[in-house]
Amino acid sequence: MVKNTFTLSNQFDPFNLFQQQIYYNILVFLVKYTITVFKITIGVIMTEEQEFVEKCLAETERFPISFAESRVFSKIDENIEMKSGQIEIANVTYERGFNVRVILDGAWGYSTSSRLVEKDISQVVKQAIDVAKASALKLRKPIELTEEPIIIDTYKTPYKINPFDVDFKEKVELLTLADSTMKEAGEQIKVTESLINSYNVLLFFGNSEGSRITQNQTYVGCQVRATAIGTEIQRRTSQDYQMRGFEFVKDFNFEEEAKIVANEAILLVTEAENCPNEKSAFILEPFQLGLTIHESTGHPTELDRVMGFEADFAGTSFLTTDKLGTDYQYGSEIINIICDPNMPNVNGHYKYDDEGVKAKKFHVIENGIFKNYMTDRETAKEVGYEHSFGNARIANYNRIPMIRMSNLYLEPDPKGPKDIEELLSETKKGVYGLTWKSHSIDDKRINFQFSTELGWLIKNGEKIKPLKNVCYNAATPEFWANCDMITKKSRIYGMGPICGKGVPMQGMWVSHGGGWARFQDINIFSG
Amino acid sequence: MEINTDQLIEKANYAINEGKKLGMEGVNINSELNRILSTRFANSSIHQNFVDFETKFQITAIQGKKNVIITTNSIEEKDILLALNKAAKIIVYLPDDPEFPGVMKDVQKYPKIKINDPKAKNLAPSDVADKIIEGMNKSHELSPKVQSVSGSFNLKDGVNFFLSSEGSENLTPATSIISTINIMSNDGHGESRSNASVGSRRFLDLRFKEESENAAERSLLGLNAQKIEPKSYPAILDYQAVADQVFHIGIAMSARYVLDQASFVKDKVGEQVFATSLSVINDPHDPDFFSANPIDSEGVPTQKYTLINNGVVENFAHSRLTASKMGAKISNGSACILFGTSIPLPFASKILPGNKSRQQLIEEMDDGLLVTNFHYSNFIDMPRGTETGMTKDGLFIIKNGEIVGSAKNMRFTDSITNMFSKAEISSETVQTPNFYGYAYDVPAIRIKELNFSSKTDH
Repeated sequence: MVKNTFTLSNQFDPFNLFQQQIYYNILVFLVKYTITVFKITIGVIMTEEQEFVEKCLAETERFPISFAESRVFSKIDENIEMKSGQIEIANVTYERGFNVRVILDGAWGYSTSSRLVEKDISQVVKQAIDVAKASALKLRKPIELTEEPIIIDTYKTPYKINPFDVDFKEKVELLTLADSTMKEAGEQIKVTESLINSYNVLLFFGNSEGSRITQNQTYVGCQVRATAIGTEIQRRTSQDYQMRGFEFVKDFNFEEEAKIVANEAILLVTEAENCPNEKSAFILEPFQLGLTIHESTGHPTELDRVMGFEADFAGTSFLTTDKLGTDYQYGSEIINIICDPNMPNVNGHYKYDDEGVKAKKFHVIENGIFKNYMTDRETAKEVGYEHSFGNARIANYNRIPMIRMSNLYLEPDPKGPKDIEELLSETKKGVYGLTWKSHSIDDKRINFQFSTELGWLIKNGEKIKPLKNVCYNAATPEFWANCDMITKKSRIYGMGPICGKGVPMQGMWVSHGGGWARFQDINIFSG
Repeated sequence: MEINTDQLIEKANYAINEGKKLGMEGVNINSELNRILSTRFANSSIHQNFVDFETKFQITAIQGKKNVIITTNSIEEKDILLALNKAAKIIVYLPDDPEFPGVMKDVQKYPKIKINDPKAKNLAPSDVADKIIEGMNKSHELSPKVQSVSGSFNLKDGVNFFLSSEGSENLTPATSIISTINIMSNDGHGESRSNASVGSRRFLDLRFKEESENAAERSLLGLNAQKIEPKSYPAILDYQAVADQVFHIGIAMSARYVLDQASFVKDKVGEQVFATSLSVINDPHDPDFFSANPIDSEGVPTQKYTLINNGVVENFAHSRLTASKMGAKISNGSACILFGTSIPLPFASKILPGNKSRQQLIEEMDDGLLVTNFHYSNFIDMPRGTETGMTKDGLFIIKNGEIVGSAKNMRFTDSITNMFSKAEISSETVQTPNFYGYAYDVPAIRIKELNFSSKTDH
């Protein structure tokens, strides 16, 4: 029995249907009236892009569509990367365009163009109509969407220093500092890498229901990486992305991070031993934990994937819809995995998703029980949710909105140890793994094998030996069922636009993390 | 909306002239205008279609020993000027890279290769839908156990235009069509999935219906899979599994990863690393090959070259920068855009065929596995060439020269060099595209063994 988190659709009732129709007509009238007033009131301050969206929506009204939405999307992506003392990449990408999506005869139609010119609107809309007609040739069932509140809002993620206003000079200086710091750590350091990435997305959204949203997101990312050569080749990396301005780059402390990664890379090629092959307690710091959440919790709870829409490329999911609302045991009782795009500054932050649905904080896993999927309006409707959880996102103007992770994390345990030191002190024997090195997971998201850049052998509560080539292999539900300790202290890491999904591929920016967590009886080995 | 090539050429010349006015020593324009038809189909229905009119306009500004790349998708003059001014502002702060090769002074000559379908511009979304529906119907006709057809279809048709301030110029009309088809069969006791990837430059040549049917047959053959124990098995890697491995070998053969100390063949030029039967070439000049292209992403003419000759590592894939850093005279025209960045890759790799047919390889195997494809295979440790990944799309058990059943998917953990230390190469090759937009021409290969490290329930 499904409970709490969503309501089943109403049973068919002709009287209710009649009443609903009246209410619906009144609502449509009020919405149109409100939009007209809105347009008249702010018409003088409407941006060109907002006007463009209005014109696209107006053009769709010439056709017998049941729904329409339009977006004007622009992005700036600036990358500067230094490798071994030379600037290897200095790139800036400006992209913009618009799209129109309609539902006609129960089918989606979508068309996009990079040319933001008014005379193209009618052709793009016509293409969307033609596409819908083509889609309707082979339709499983008519597309239905959840009803969502109408939103008229403008939102800009806050920052103190616009990263695009900062001269490259300052950026080059920071990367040069990181580079020289890594090299100074020792002769074993053979390759040094560092980067600063600044990203801005400006999205104007409108739909035929009356929502009009402008959302402006800016994030920055920093990374340092040192590769050392000794008995073998090993690397250490430190990186983070946040939805902030250049102040985050200043806070990142390139010099300190460079020192740490270089010294640890040297440690890996001088003192570290191979990871033992055994079943053991395994402890993850928030970055690697985040990667594990991303692959084994995030992807299998994307409802489009569950429904087979991504079967050809990304795969499907073991968390099939028959498990929803059945108290399916996903992990131990201390596992609470939360999706919260509302959290400020994290890389997966937004106020509205790209279907105009307000971002919600919700449990994907609650006390170890599978609770909810991430949804868009279409898939939410299909499984009987009253509303979408607001997880539809687009990576560019010419990409379809898809269900994407945003900010997904493991909630800290208020009864757990204070921090990693306290957690380690309570561990008699185990391995502590730090930072992603490689990952692989099957197409249903059960069997995974990940490895970390660095490990520590833990004995009697202490880090006694550095370990290299640390791999762990597990099945998703067993892995999370074996989690017995999560710290109170937590950290969320931004992961840049690394999450790939869809064909054509869409790279999406996400954040993950949570408390430091310990898992018992994990199959660890050297690989 | 028409693809206006004249306008693109005019704007490229405009950008070069304006760049010169800003004092830039060299300016390269790498541009595209495309119409894209894209479809996501799932559960035997068309889920989302879209049409895109795409513009790419990449400006590389070069000043002495440094360069900056500004990309825009607008060819309006004000946006081009904005991009050029940004480039001019940035480049002054960049330090010189003594090994950067600078402006490409010689006027380049490009091979003439036809890689477009003149009929593609007239295709409508309904033509694509018809093609997909035909494949879906064909799959379902095979058996009621075929339950759903999913996949994607992407057709890109337009022009690529390169122009340099030194006079190198190349206009290539280009069409690419890539589709994947995933078939799910279910007999009431369990499901089985199989996948096919098809690519073509010509819409009518796309083997969508045929490969849908093949994938459906494989998915039916995969039903009633049994759980077998993970260990080392003699194995035949089928086309898609080989293509997956060729991609990883290609990464290792990229001079970028060699310079990063990340490649397991970084110091192996001239050494026997693989079985003597394995030879791999990069052949971007074969007009019947999906990966054919006269020009790389830096404006360098592509070259046909040998990567692995009878198991011996012979050449790496180079961009202009890596060629300069490694002391090669010139780039071999292998720069391509991957993950938003220019990386040298042997994007037109072909494994040279052997003498035995794929069927013979199966018939000569006493006890082993036929691996259709891999899922999410990744390096565990690139410098050592160790990898892990899952089998997918059909793992079949071979006994006494026949396929006798299917096995549930397993995870392999092995090194590429171990995998291909012995290799019997089949005589038939198949062009297998990947999701990066390139295709490899590959045979099925019998390898000595593949080490499986864990198993699954599906």
